[in-house]
Amino acid sequence: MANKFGVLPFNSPVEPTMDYAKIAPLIGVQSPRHLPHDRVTAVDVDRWCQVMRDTNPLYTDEEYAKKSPWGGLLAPSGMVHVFALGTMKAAIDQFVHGKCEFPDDPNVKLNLVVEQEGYTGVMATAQRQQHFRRLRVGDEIHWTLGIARLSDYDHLTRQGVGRKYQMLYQFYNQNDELLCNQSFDVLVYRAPMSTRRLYAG
Amino acid sequence: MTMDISAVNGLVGQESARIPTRHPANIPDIRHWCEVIREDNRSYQLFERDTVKAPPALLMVWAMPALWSAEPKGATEPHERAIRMLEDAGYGVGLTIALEQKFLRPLKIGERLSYQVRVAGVSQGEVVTAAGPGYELELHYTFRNQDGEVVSEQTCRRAQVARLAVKKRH
Repeated sequence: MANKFGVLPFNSPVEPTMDYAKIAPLIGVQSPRHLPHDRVTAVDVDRWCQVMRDTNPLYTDEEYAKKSPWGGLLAPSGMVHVFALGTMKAAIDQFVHGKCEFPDDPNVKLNLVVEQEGYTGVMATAQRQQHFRRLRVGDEIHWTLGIARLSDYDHLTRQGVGRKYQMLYQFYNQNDELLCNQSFDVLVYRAPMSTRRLYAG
Repeated sequence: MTMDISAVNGLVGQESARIPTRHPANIPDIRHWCEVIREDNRSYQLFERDTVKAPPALLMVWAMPALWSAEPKGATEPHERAIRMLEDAGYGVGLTIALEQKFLRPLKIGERLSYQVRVAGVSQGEVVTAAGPGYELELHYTFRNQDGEVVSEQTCRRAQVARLAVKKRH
């Protein structure tokens, strides 16, 4: 980013193409808590175990789980985001009608800016989960999300020139205990003309 | 390709033992179903508060077998054996072509279903379908709740065909 004299820092690989000041207030701010549409239920856990071929009795055998140190059924930790997903209607509203369920969330505001700046391509590149507590059947998962970081210069990628940002999801249970931190890396890019022609048919 | 249908004929009229469903009529499945079919955006809290009966169309969903099991079950019931015989004779693709459903009483949340399947009939020769030649099988389902009350009767006609004949598009 240029300083007040309009001089670029020596380590800028290319000339900046986006006004970072529009983004800066969104970095490091978590959204308010969102409520889930589903409780953690034995039915959903059972179906997940069928598909994943997971035979751990802590997830599906109630008698076994009661005798275990956990005292009841657990849910696989990898499921945490499943219970915090939006509904089909919210997805249709967002992707067909352009109406976001939570328009004040930092990631929604960020997406608006990067789209205006011409980074119309979006690609998820990595996801990491750090778990602190087990999910139990019956839990309610609340979540917040924010933007942890955004690159302040353009990267040259195979998809085109783009920026990377990292979202941070935080999942809590109904007792306000932090269950999981999940980071989600996204590349937004300006697709080269050849790619755009391909998608335009 | 034809097969000796007499072995399958021997199973016509036979009924399976009661097969329990894996899950009771439950809120999460109803919520997922309403979300997809009706674009219903209510959360589980409202469903847990307001829902008393399950949508009848969900009955067959709860009767479906597990997607995967650590101990796979062989074909022991008459309808499973009939399908297995047709599969072994080369008619390996099953297609449901008609489902007639009668609902006799509402299904309440928490009720545990079981069902019995009777082999009602099989075509005596190969029939021609749009998906290729095959045999038609008619299965009759009776659903009961945990007290033995009949909740629904359904007739499922299915075609077992050798392979899917897909018309070339170009």
